[in-house]
Amino acid sequence: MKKLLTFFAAVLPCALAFAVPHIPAQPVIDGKLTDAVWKNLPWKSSFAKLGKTEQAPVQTRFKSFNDGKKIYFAIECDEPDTSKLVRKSYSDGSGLLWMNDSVEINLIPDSKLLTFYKTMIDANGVHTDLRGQDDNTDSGRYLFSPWRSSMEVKVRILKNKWIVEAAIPFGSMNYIAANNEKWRLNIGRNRWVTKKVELSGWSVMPEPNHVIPKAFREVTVEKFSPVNYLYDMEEFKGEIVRKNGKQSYKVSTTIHNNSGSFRIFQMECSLTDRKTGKVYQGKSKFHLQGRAYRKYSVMIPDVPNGDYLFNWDLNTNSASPALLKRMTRTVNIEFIPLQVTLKRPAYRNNLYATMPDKTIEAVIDLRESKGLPLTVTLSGEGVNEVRKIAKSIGRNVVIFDGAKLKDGRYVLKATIEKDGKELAASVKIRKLPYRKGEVWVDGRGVTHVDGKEFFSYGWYQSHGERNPVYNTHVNMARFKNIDSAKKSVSDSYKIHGLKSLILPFQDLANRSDWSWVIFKDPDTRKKGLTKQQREKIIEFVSQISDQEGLLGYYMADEPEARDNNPAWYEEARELIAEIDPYHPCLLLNYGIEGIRKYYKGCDILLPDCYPQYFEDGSTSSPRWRPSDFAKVSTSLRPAWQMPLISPWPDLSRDGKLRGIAPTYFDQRSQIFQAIIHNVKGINNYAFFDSQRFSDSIIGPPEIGKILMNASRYLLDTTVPDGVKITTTPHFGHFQVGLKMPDGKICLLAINTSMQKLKVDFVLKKKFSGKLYLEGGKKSVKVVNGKFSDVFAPNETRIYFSDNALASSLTPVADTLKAIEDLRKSRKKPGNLVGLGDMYSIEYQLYGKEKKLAPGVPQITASSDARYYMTRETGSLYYLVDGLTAPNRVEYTWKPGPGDKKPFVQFKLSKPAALKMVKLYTLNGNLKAGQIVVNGKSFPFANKSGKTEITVPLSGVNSDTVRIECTEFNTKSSDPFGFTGRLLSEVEIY
Amino acid sequence: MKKVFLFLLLLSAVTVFGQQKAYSLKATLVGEKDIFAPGDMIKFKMTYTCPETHRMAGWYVMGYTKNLPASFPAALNVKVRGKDPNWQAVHFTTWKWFPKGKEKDVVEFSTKGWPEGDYQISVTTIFRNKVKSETKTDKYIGSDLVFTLEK
Repeated sequence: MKKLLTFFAAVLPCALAFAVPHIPAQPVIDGKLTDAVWKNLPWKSSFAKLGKTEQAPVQTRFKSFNDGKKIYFAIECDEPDTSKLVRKSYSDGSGLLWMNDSVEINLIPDSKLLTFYKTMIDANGVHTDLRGQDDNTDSGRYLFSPWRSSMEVKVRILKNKWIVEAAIPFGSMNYIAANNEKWRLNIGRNRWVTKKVELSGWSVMPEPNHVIPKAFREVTVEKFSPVNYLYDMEEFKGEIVRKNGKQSYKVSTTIHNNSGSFRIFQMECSLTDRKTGKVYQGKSKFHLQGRAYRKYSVMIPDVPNGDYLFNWDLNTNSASPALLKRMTRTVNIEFIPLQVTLKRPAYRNNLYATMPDKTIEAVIDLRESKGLPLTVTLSGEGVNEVRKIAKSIGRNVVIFDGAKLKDGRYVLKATIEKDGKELAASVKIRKLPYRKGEVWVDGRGVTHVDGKEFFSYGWYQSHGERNPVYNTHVNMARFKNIDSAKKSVSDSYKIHGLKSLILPFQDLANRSDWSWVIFKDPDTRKKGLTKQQREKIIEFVSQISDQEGLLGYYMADEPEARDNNPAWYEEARELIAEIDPYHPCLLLNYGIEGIRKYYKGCDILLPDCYPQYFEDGSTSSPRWRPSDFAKVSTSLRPAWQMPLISPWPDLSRDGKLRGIAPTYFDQRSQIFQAIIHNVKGINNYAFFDSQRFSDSIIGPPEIGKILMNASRYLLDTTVPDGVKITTTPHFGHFQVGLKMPDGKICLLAINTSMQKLKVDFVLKKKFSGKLYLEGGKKSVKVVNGKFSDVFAPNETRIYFSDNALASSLTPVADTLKAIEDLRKSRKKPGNLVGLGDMYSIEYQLYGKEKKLAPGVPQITASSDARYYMTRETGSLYYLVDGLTAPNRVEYTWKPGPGDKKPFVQFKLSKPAALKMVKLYTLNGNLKAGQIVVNGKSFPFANKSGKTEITVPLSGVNSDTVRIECTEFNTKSSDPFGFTGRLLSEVEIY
Repeated sequence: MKKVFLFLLLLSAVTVFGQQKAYSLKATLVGEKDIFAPGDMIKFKMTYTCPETHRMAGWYVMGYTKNLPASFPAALNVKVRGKDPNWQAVHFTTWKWFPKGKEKDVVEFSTKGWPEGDYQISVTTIFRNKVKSETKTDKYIGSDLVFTLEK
């Protein structure tokens, strides 16, 4: 009965619509709530913990109304001791603001819940505005982009509560004609005063998540009509206008009046300098009939060069103008009357000894003084070459032969003389002596090592034994000193064949922990480099740069998650490039916004795009998300990509679906989508926890073979519009790309849907003949560039015109069979304790939480020497997952130090007649011991050091088997530590 | 003969065109503001030119529905004329006549009963020959006023 009442108590308020009344009042937004309009409005409270129906122990309450132009909120947050409020400083627009004590106002005018608006306001009174857009996968997930609410907000902190008063103009949101008074609303709260964050909300949420719009309560925003706000602004254009030495910025847009009524607009265009906050404005007034559109321009006078946030506001023609529509974008205003850029060399303006083409091709852009003579000089190292263009044009090209230059530094300078005044621009060029292992990037974004194309393929952090398909790893170590750094890089290269991407930010303080002091993140990365940081970078980079095993510098891992300042990385990159021109800087972001924000801090972008895979075939992000990432990153910089190979997360947010490691099809889809969109390197996440799963053990090395064998094709630039396709049924996200080096064809085609598709292809190249699939046995017949094929859900196909190449690759079906065979071999018939290929969550449930599923044995041990990965789960359930010779040391067991009588004990779910125990011991580490069943001992010895020990039992009936280790070797001498581990697998028959 | 005829034809075309250019009208609100309250009198100035032979004889204001708030016709209980939505119009005043010699260039009209909203009102003036003539030589010239009514 109590449960029923609790349920209805939670659900019933949702059923009652709440009114946001229309009151023609405009309170002063001062956080005091003393205006008369607030006094007569009731409080709404009973905030519940997210994911539960129980009320939050510390409550929040709010009031709301609208005046036809804005929607107003008064929010009171009880807090017994407001001196403990968490109020860190975050950068403007930071999505991390929720990690301060904060509230979240969520507004949805759209009954279909396709878009919603969120503003997070923290106890400092700072706010971040976000617009959520449904990601079109019917999964209730949203993509966020910045929004500018124009909210007026004031926060006041009292002794035992803090107050938010806010006013949000209706005009800051977008509407369609079908919108009406029925909205959805939720107020959420993030309370960090407690040890564990307390998340609560006015709407009862089915899981601990603020972003579930369908759970937000329905409200009636009285007298709201979308008709007042049906305007669009499109085709924005901004141009610099210079006259009489002054610079203005002219903005144009086409305004659509979809409201049906004649309208007079007060237009206000503003540029806010992102560094100084100074505002430059232009105003205008115009009118437009209903259902009409017209192009308008506004001039913003006296605008210097800079980075700006631009707003174009359409306001009512009123004594107190109300916002009707806003367009916001970032603009960079940079009038450079004369600009020099180098088309060749394409990377860092450097000429490397191993570059086959050492042409210097300079492009000189003129924005004024066209028609005058242009002089271009290349000087340095005793050279002074001159090129003259008698009559300059807008874009001028000049060539120098860099091959004949000596090593050294040069300056290429372009000058124009007008009325006795010189206008000049220059770039610096370095010609570098040969260094073994030198790394540079060509105009296609392809990395070269020692002059050879290098398709980087490897793993993030940990890796396995040497495998010829892997050539790179990301090394996140913070080294004690330079010698340990050199040894690490050298060992990775010489022992494992892996070039390293290392952190250039090293304290080198001889500490054995991984703490940072000089480079503490994020504390020291809010502004520019400190003097001490510069010195440390110079010290480390100058000493490590000559290591043959070095591939590049790993600048940051998801810096947007810690609100790092992009300028810090830009400065660091510039310094590193000066000290070590031979190795590029790479930077990893987890989202498209991060890529756009941080790209200047690196030479190569390496974003991680994690779709997240679940047991029912669903994903958190659309399966074509890797393509979105690749398109953005390659438009800004040469790019690699980090696909997800591990299972993450273990469980979906609502706890209903188990996460899985990506299947072979999933892996192929991620990697080859990136390659279609011109990504030139792949780094997988992550070896240490993916090697428990059959797909992740076999899939990545097979893909590696394709990358290495077909690198000549895959590294080439995808032919623009090289293929046209039609899918049946229609599906708009089928990915396809044509690579055609030397006229031979490699066609990549990926079905990113979970339905079968028939695809009709039309190639730009009018090829007739056969295209062969991996393995060379299957082919399609192409006639004049046309052919059709049928794709299974989530299938990737790679077609080659070169049958010899196709035949060198493993057929996909064979790899799938190998994965299935491995999976089957891991659960042997008759093995009473074997679980085989498990879900990631099961290691947690059995090892950490001791929640055993039916049939799962209870495994205990005298001790368990754990690693970071197994610190919570322990190692014991890795002894029953069917991996007898695992790739990772974490999947094995070893007793703790000081354990003189180590044992592992298995308690079966029910007694059985026991015939045999099989022990797998790496490197023969387990030398002798006994199996104890019902007090009876079955000794074993392994003097010859075999890796498999078979111990016959007499058919004794029992549910408990104890393995006692009496003689063993736990000293570790191999780089992975396997030599110290005793057991990798136990089978009981 | 043909040439003379063509010359006369050309001359008359130029004359007519020249006469067209001789007429102009610009209506502007008096004062700085363009925001009024419903019920206010809207005062505006007519700056015009016309040939010596003609004078401004009268004016009136009307509105095309596309330039008015949607609720205007119902609020004033006036009929919307015309079928083409681009040219549907509402006439809410009659002609205001100037006796000879008593022409004014600043006039006004009432917004009593008008709903709040944005307006583009069409001002039309009539120019007439100072001397009565058998031939009709009236000329109608228009200009627009743009303003907002808010409480």
